[in-house]
This record gives sequence, C-alpha cells and structure tokens, in this order.
Amino acid sequence: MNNVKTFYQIITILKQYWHNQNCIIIQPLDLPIGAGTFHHKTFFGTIGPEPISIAYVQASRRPSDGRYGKNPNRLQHYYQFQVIIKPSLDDIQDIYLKSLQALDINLQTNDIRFIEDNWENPTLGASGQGWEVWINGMEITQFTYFQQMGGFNCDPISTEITYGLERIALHIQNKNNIYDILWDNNQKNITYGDLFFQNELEHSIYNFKHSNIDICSNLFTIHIQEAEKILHLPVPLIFPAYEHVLHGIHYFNLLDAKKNFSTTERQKHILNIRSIIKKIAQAYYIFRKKLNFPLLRYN
Amino acid sequence: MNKTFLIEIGTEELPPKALKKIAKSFQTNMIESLKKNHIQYKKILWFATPRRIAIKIEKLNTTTQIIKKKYKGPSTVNAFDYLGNPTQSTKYWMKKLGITINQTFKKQEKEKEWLFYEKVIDNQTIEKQLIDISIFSFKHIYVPTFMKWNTTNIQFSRPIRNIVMLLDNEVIHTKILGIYTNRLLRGHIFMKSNIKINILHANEYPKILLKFGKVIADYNVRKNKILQESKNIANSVGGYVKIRDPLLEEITSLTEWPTALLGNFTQNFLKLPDEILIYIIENQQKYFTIYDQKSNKITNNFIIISNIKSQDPTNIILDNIKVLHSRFSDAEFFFKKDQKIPLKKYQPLLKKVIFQDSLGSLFDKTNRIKKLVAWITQFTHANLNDCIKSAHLCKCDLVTNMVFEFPKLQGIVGMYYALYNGESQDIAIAIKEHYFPRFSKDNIPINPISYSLALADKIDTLIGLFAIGKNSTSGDKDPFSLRRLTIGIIQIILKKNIPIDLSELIMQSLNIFNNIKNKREIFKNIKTFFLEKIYFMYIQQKYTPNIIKSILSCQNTQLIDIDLRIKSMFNIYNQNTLQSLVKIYKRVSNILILSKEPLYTKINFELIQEKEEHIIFELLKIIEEKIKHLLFQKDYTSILFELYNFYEPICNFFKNIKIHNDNYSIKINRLTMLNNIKHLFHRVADFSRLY
Repeated sequence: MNNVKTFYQIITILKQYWHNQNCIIIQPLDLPIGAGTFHHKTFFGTIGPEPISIAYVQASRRPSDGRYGKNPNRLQHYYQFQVIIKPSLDDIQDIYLKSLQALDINLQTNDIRFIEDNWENPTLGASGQGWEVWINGMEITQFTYFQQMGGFNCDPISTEITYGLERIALHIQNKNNIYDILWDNNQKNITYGDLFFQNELEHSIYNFKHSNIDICSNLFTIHIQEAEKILHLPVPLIFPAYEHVLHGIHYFNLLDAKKNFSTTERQKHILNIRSIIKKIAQAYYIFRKKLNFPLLRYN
Repeated sequence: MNKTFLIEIGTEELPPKALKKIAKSFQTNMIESLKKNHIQYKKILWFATPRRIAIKIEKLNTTTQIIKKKYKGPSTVNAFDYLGNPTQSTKYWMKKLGITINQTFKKQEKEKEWLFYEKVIDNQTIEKQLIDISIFSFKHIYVPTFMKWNTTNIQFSRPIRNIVMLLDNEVIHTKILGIYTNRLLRGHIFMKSNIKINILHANEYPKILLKFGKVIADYNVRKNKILQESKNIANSVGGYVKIRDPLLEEITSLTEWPTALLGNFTQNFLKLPDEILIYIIENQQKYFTIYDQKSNKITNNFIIISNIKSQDPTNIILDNIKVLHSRFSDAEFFFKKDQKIPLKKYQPLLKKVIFQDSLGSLFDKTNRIKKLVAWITQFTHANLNDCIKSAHLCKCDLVTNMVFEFPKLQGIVGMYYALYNGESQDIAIAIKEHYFPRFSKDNIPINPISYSLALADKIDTLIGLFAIGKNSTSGDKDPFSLRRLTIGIIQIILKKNIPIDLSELIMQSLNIFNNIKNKREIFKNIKTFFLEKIYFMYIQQKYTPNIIKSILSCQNTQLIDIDLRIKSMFNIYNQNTLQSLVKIYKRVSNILILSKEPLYTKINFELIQEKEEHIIFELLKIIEEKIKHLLFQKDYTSILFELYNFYEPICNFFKNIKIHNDNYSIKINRLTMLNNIKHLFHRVADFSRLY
C-alpha cells in the first residue's frame, strides 16, 4: 500500500512536474465554479498577446452531476488540475505524456487515446479544438488549443490541459469507486469517501430537491446586475465584475440541475451571461493594452 | 525517369470521423494537380492513421518539362499594313509583351491566320513542381473544422508536427506549412515511444513504418484487422458481432495498431433496454457488442479495440470494464429515477419546453398532434383512441432524465417507459416510431398508429417552421431538416398507401394552429415545396422529367394517384404509345388554340356530317364511358390505351376533313368534339408538357 500514489501525492507530483516545466504554481479560485477554465487566471490569461504559464488545482462544481454518492465516478464536486500555457509549445503533447509518466502511468501497457472533443463554453464565449485523453476507456484529461475566449480570437493560441484528478487516482490506485481512493496515508489510510462522501450526498439532495428556485433565480439576477453596474463605473472594476458573473453562473447551474428552464429561457440566460462576459473581456483587453501589455517583457 | 514520390504529413490526432475524407481529398487534389501539370505516373496511393496522412506516387515521370505559354495577337490581315509593316495594334501588343516582330510566328487557327508568341515560362525542376503540387493539394483538402496552434497563420484540422518528402532516396528539402521537410517518420506514439525512423527510399513506405514503427499506415489493412480479430473473438465465446460501418471506420481512424480484446460486464446490467446498452457500448465507449449465436440476444461480452498490443492487457480490459460499469450505473440511476413517475405525468412538464419560437410549447404541439391525428385516422383506419393516447404520450420522454442524458434515444426511452407503465405494444411502438424515418433509408413506421402519428407530428413541424419563416433550404443547408421531414411524409403516404390528399392534410394542420396569420400564403409555399420534393424524388428514381411535370401540373395532390399516373405513363413510354398519344394531342390542341370562338357545351349530333366525324363521335361516347369506370379504378394504363384508340380515327379526320366550314355551327361543333377529346387526355396528365 505504501508505494501506491495517494491523491495528495498525485497533486504534489503534478505541481512539481509543471513547476519544472516553468509554470507558476498558484492556488485555486475561492468561488464555486464549474471548471478550472473559469479561474480568472485562465480566463483573462488567454486573452491578448501576453504570455502565461500557470498551473493550479481547482475545486469544481457541477450541480447536475450529483448522484447522491452512488455513482462510482461521477460527482457534483471534484478536483481538476489545470495547466494553461501561452503561446502554445510545439512539443506540448509530448510534455503532457511525460507528466503521465511522472505519475508512473505506463504508456506501453495502457491504452492511451486522444479522442476528438472540440470544447465549447457558450457562457464564456470560448471554444477550442482538442481531445479527451482516455486511458483504457476512461477520460482523464481534456486537452485543448483555445481558439476563442470571451469572444476574442486567441492570438497567440493557448494550450489548456485539465486533468480529472479523481479519474487519474482511480486508475493509479486501481480502485473501482471514487470513495475508495486513498487521499493520504500519513496518519491512517484516509479515503476520499471519509473526507467527502457526506458532502456529496447532502449537496446532491440539496441541488435536486431543496434548492429554492426563486432564491436561485433572484441571486442570478442580482449578481448579473451587480456585474453590469460595476463594469460601467467610470473606472470599471473588471475582476469583481467577473466574480459576480461566476456567482451568477453557479446559480444558473443550480437552476439547470432542477431542469427549471424552458429551452428559450435557458438560451436567454446563456446569451445574457455571454454578452456581459464579452464586455468584461473587452474591458480587460483595453486595460492591458493601455498598460502596453507589460508581461510581454518576459517573451 | 521513373521515380517514387512520398509525402507524409505528421499531425496530432486527427478527427476520426473525417480522417478518411481528409486523406482521400488530399489524394484527389494531387491527382488533379498532377494532371494540370502534365506529370505522368503509374499509381497513386493514400495512407491515413490518426497521426499522419500520406501520399505515395509510384513510377512518376521525372523528366524535366518545359512549360510554354502561348499569346495570341491580331489576325495577320490586321497585323500588317499594305507595306508589310506592323500596324498600331500589333505594335501595342508587342510592347505589352516586351517582344519584337522576330519573336512572333504566324499560325492558322480555325478560318483565320493569327500572329502568335510563345514564351518559355520556366523549365521547372520536378522537385519544385512536386512542392507546389503538394502545397496546393494540402491547402485544398476538405477539412470539417480548422484550428490554429502556433504563431504562423497556418490552419488545419489539427497541429502539423512533421513532414517527410522524398523523391526516391532524396529528401526534397523545403519549408512548407511551417515545417522543414526531412526523412524521419514517427513511429507508434506508445509502442515505439514516438521514435523517429529514418526512411531511406520512398519505396520503403509503408513497410518500414510497420516493421520499425509499429504503425499500420494502410487504412484498409487496419480496418480488416479490426474486423477479423473481432469476428474471431466473438466466435470464441459463441457469439457474433454486427459492426456498423461508421463505427468501424471511426475505430480504424483512432488506431495505429488496433488489437481486439474481450471484456465482459456484470450480467445484471443486461436488464437495461438493448438500445441503451448498445448506445453506451458503441457510441460512448466505442466497443463492439457481442450477440449470442443461438438466441441472437445481446450478451454481456464486448470487444475493446485497443490502440496498442500490450505485454499485459489485463489492466486495459479491467479498466475498460470499470468504465463501462460506471456508465451503465449512471443509466440505471436515470432509469430508476424516471420510472418513479408514470410517463403520462411528464406531460405537464412539456409546457416548459418551447417547441420553436412563437409556436408554443411541446405541450401545445402535443395538443395539435392529437387533433390532427384524429382527422388522419379516417384515411389510415388506425384505432382512434390508441392514436390519441400515443399522441398524448409521444413527447413525454423528452423531459425525462434519460433523454436529457442520451438525447439520441428520444422515442426509444418513451417506448420502454410506456411498456413499463403497462401501455399496449402498439402504443409503445408508435412512441418510438413516430420519429421515423429519421434519415434517408431509415425504416418507415410499421403499424397504423405509428404512421398516423408520424404524419401528424411531421406535418405539424413543417407547417410551424414555414409559419415562422424558417423554411429556407437554400444551398446545401437544411438546418431544420425540412427536406427530410417532407420526404418522410411523402414516403409514409406512398409506402403505406394512404389515400390522403396532401392539400387537405396541409389545410387541416394549418387550421389547427390558432396563431398563424397569412395562412393562404403559407399553404401555397408548403404546397410548392412538396411538389418540388415530389419532382426530385421521381427524378432520383430515374423517371423522365417531362412525364413527372405533365402529372404534377394537373394540380393533383393525391400522392398515391400521382404515383400511379407517373408509373402508367412510364409504362407506355417505352412502347412508343406515348409518342403517338402526344402526336394526336398536339394536333388537337393546336387547332383549339388557334380558334378563339366560344365552343358548345355539348356536341350536336345533327351537325355531324362526314364519315370520319361519325366514327370519332361514336368512339368518343364509348371511350368516355369506359374511362369513367377506369378512372374510378385508377387504372391509368388502361385509360391511356383507350385514348390510343383515337390515334387512327383522328389521323384520318385531319387528313380528310377541314375543320373550317362555311357553316359556322358545323365548325364549332367539330371543335367542341376535339375539345372533349382533349379533356379526356387531361384526365390523366397535361400532355402539353410532353412536347
């Protein structure tokens, strides 16, 4: 049991690996978001010409994916390891595969595949071309060359690599169920289930049964309005506006989990979010341009 | 000299559903471009794997070619004045080309002699030509989606990382698509850790890749390997595989060294409906299902096509099983959750789902279908109550968790839930089949409830889309599948022999909508749209355009009737009968067009004088009577043969009798008789469209 990599070690190895690849290791965003992509470092970092190489663990929430703790590999709250690099590197695929080797994943005895998956997030005005990376039939990574963010054509292109940490742990530790994943072995053998099962169960119940539609709906509107307001100040508050939109998206996702939308309403909300996201992206771009894109000095 | 040319473009993993098209389009462009450049060769081959596309040209003629371009000047008559000096226009032409008169020559072309100049543009080396041809062919490849991956502005389906270009044993050195060409092929990314293989001669491709790189570059070889190994594995467990070609192609495009492995899942999951199992096994996980040889049922065995041959495949198999279990348990979760509520209880939820813009919700649509299907049953003789019940249920599954998760299973999920709720087999099947036919060559709904419901649903959608102006099908685009819907309706009516009038059907459906304004215009547009589709359907079945037009222009919208008429006309078409009919019709019709006088409503027997007239008059009476009966039986072939009886008499009539007579009444009477004959022709088709 001692030579099996724990969840903690998987994170540590990835951080170390990408640190050695010249990435800055930062901390997660302290807000409920659906994926590592929503972290402001990724969102803003991919806009404009300035370089970025950053990696972090991000807790992610997808209310509709809750399964009351019953599904062996689906959760409404889980962890992603996110790498964002701009400009994209010619040997980025190779660097990625070496990160799997760093985790002791044997590339010769496992079936690793790049399955086409062109990613798109309508709320972020983002799209990219890339793959799901499968290991023996299980998706463990999303690998994307961003083409658009916040409605801007990416130039230069960023590569985003998002590891599904639980899925990787399932494979490495050879477990059938997420809740059996060994998180750490320093005291006792603490599992993912020990730490998070109750959380998962209660949130599933809340998301599907007890979340209040009116409250969520109001909170959605309030956050979007607030974002609009502070974005239109004489000196726009870009980051706080962005965070309010993230809050808004979370409430949108909660409403979606209850399937409380008609198709048009849903579309209306998405368009609403997208239009303000575009304005935020624009404000950010103009702001950085005024500063003469200071990070270009590292090129 | 004959040499072998090889170009291999190494990429990151290409989209599997487009791979074959990409490679073949590269080949097609090469063929065209070689032809344009007058380069001869014996054979051109294409290769494709997820990480490369390649073209190999064998016995390519590498003799350096001189390319000449010919410029045509004025005709010699106009080129020189009477002293034999160049005229102004000749001087202007020479100045433009920067040449002297000595560089020109005279040549006869058609009737005239012209002044010409021939310029040797370039005696390009074959290497240069091949580079240009390759770039041209690559840039014109059909690609479904484009992307950028670096700071060059080059775009392709996926990043390009390597280019090998060889003419026999020489690298054609250049930089194309942002890459310096070389002779290093990349081996299998995992089995050979992406090693670089030195290819010494273009002839070695693809063998060297197989030997040292563990890559089967030949697409069809891989495809057959997958098929053969899968059959063998299925056979070894007493089963067989039914492999859909698109899935086989996809897997061929996902692997460089496909290896089939046997997996099996927990028997318990076989309780899930077959379609759901298959959907997860094949569409989501890209495995093959194994069926039992004896019972023909789905077994819990399945085939994984791995991209590597592993020393120890146990782990690959166990992991794949694990994933499949998790997918199945997700489906099971939805299944159980959905079934806590009977299907019909989902109906109020349809109010929240908007069908299309201003056309109300799916709940509203359901109500419209109910009304329409009730009307349709008088033609299909389907059980009215069952039809209404299935209309009530047919959209309910759209708001279940299962269809939310697996949208492609709409209808199928509804069918299972209906059965679970104890609905009859017919109703359950109708829920599934009312979406049929979903694509060309798809099944037509089987039972009367199914096709009644399918007609109602489709016509309602079609009318709705026309009403909100989403009826544009310009070019190749058909975003709302109007064409498919329309052809679906036509196919159902014809194949199920439903004596329904299309115009009435459209009208009936239009009247059920209560918020559509310009109904008359929409009716007209839809009818025209239908007639166009009917026309093209028969054209595709190789019927003569004129015949189809002659029938369709009769304003008849009984599809079965149209079908019978077109087929009858076509029957006699090949026997020259039709030509004779057209001939007499034309003569009759032309005479009638010339005379502008009002005709009588009835033929006046008293005014008939000549023998030829008498014959026709008697014949007309008999044939009219016969045709009346034959029309009732819709026996158009016999009607046409009856009309053919007019051939001789009418020929005699025109030969021996002048229509014009001093007695005006006699003339009008004759014209009236001819007009009656013309009308008889029109009972079948508008013959004027046939000449």
